[in-house]
Amino acid sequence: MRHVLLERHAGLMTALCLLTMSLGALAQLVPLGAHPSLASAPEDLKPLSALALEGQRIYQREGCQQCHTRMVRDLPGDTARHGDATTARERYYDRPSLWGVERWGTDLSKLPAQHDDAWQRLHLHDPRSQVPGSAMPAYPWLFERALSGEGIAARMRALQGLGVPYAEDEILAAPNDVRGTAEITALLAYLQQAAPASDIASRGP
Amino acid sequence: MRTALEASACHPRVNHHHHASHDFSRMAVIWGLLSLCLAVWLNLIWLWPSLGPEVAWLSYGRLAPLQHHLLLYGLGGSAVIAGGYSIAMHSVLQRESRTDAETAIADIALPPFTLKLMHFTFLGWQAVVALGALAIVAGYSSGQYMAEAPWLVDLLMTLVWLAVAWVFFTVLEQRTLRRLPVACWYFIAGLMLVLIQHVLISLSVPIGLLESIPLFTGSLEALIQRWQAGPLPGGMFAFGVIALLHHMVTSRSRLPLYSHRLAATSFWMLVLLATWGGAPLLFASALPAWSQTLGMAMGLLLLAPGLALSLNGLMTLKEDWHSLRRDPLICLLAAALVSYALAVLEYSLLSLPTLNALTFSAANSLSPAASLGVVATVAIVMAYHLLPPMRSLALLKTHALLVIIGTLLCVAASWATTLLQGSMWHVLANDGRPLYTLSEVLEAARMPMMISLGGLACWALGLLLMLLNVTRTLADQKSERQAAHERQRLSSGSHKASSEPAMHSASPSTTPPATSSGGHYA
Repeated sequence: MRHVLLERHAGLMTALCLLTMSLGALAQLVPLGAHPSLASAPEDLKPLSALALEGQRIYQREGCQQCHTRMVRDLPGDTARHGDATTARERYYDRPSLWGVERWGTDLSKLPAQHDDAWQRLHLHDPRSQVPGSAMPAYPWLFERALSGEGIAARMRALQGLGVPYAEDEILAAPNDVRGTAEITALLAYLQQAAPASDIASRGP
Repeated sequence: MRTALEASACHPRVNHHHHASHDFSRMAVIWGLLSLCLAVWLNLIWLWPSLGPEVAWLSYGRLAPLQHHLLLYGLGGSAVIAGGYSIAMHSVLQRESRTDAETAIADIALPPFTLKLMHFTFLGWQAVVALGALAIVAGYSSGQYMAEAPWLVDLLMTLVWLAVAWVFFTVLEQRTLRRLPVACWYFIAGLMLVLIQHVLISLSVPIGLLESIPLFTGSLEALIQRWQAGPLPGGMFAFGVIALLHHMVTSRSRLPLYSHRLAATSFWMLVLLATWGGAPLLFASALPAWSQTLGMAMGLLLLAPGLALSLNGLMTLKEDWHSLRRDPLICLLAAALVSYALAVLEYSLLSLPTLNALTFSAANSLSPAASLGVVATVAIVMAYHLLPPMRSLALLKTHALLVIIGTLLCVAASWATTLLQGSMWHVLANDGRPLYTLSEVLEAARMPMMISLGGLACWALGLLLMLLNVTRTLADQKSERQAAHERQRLSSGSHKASSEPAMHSASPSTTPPATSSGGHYA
C-alpha cells in the first residue's frame, strides 16, 4: 500500500483510523451484546430493591470499588476464598458494573457467612476494632445520615426505561419505603442482595 | 492547502497560541502536583490508617479517584492538548524551531473563530478537570474507573475535545509540509480514539444534573470501562502521549526519526490493537471466554509494535547520545521510551494466563510504568518544552533525576507487590483452603508500599521544584519584556505604530530557524 497517500491527506488518515478502531470495537461489542448471557434478562434474576439501589448509590459515592472487587474470578485463590466464580447472568443488571480493578480489601460479591449484620456494622463504624491492622477507613457518617427518598423513583424509572422489570407500584412506593432509613442499612442491603439466592441455587454447570 | 504566507495575508497575526500553550503547561504542572501530593497522602493513610480524618469528603474512596482524575485529565489531558497544538503548528512552520519562539508563532495566522475555540479549549478543559474533581469529592462519581466525572462534565469534555479537533485540523490545513509527520498520525488517532472511548463510556440516561445510569449493562459495560482503565495501548490519552513523545524526540534532538517504515508499521498495528486493550484486565471474570481469549491474543500482539516504537525512538536518540547529558529533557524522553517498553512488556505478559492470575489477585494491578513512567513523564517534558527556557538549569536537572528515581521506585514496588501477593494468593493447603489469610496477603504489600511512598514523594517534590522554576522563569520573562518595552518607548517615542516587533513581517521560508530558542539546553 502506498502509505505516502495517507501521509499527505489528513482526512484519509482520520477516516482510516476511525474505521480500524471502530471495527475493533464493534468486533467485540456486537457479539458480546448478542451473547446468550447478555441477550435477554435471566428470568429468575431479581433486580435490586429500592433500598439496595440506594445502597449501590452509596457504594459508588464512597468509592468502595476503588479497593474492593465484586467479581470472584475463576481462579483457585479466588474460589477457595469466596466460593463459586461470578457469572455474567448474575451481573446482568449491573449499571455501572462495579467489578473493581484493584483489591485492597476483600471481594464483596457475597458477604461472608461467618460475619453477621451486627459485625458488618461494627466493622464499618470502626474497622480496626474488628480486624486489627486493617487499612480500611471508618465510615461513621453512614450511621448518622438517613435517606431522604428523593431521586429513588427517578432512578428506578430510568432503569425501567432500560429494561429492568420494576413494577409501577414498586416505583411509587419506593420513596416512602426508603425514607428515614440509615445509609448503613441501605449499603448492607445492597451488599447482601448482591448475589440473589435464587440465582446461586439455579446456577448451571 | 494554503501556505502560511497566504494565510497570514488574510488574517491578523497573533500569537495567542503562545499564551494558550503557556497556560496549559502551567495548569498541567499544578494539577500534576496536586495529584502527586494526593498520591503521597493516600499511600501514607494506607500505611498508617489512623492518620486519615473521619470526614466523608476526605476519605480514601473519594480521594483515590480524585488522584486518578487529576493525573489523567489534569496533567495528561492539558499536556496532550497543548502538545497537539504544538505538533500542528510545527507542521506549518516547517523547520526545527520551538513553537513558543515568538518569531515563529507570529507566522501562523488563525481565523478569529479558531482562536476563540482555542481559548475555549483552555477554559473548557480546566473547567472539566475542576468540576469533575469537585463532583468526585462531593460523592457524585459515575463509578466508572478512570471516567468518574458525572454526565454533565462528560458532555462538556466531548465539546472541548471536538473543539480541540477543530483547532488541530484548522492549523494542519495551513501546513507547509506535504507529508504529515509521525506525531501528527498519532495525534489524529488519539483524537478519534478518545472520542470513541469517551462517548461509549459516557452514554447514559441522566437522572438529575449529576447522576446518571449507563446505557450498557453487565460485562458489556465492564469491557468498555476497561478500555479506558488499561493505559495501553488504547487508554484515554495513550495515543496523544505517544504523539508528544514522537514530536519531542525528533524536534528536540533535531534528528530525523530512525526508521519511517518502522514508525508506519508500528502505528497501524497500534491503531488496530487500540480498542482491544480491555479484555486482558478481565481475565477469568464473567466476561465470556471467547472475548477474553481474543483480547488476550491481541494483547500478546502488542509486544511487537510497542517494542518497535520504543526502539525507534531510542535509535533516533542514539545518533546523538551526548544530548542525553546536555539536555535533561532528552534524558527524560529516553526514560519515557524505556518505560514504554517496560509497560508494553508488562501488558503483553498479562496476556499469559498464569501471569495474569498473579496480577489481579490482591492489592495490586498494573504497575505505574505506563501512568507515571510514560503519561506523566511525557506530560511534564511537554510542559517544559513549551515554556521558555527555565531560569535554573540545576533545578531542572534535579527534577529529571527525581522523576527517574521516583518512577523506578514505584515500578519496582509495584512488581514486588504483584509477585509477593500473587504467589501467596493462590497457594492452597492440602485441605483445599487458602494457606494465607487476606490480612497476611495484604500485609505483604507493606514493605513495597514504603518503597512506593519514597517514589511518590520524589515525584511530588520534583513537581514542586518544577512549579517553583516555572513561576520564577515566567516572572523573569515578564519583567524583561516590560523593561524592553520601556527602552523601546524611550528610544523611539514617535514610532508608536511599529511597536510590533519587526521580525513578525518575515515570511517563514526566509526567516532563519530560531536556533537560539532557549528550550534547548545545549
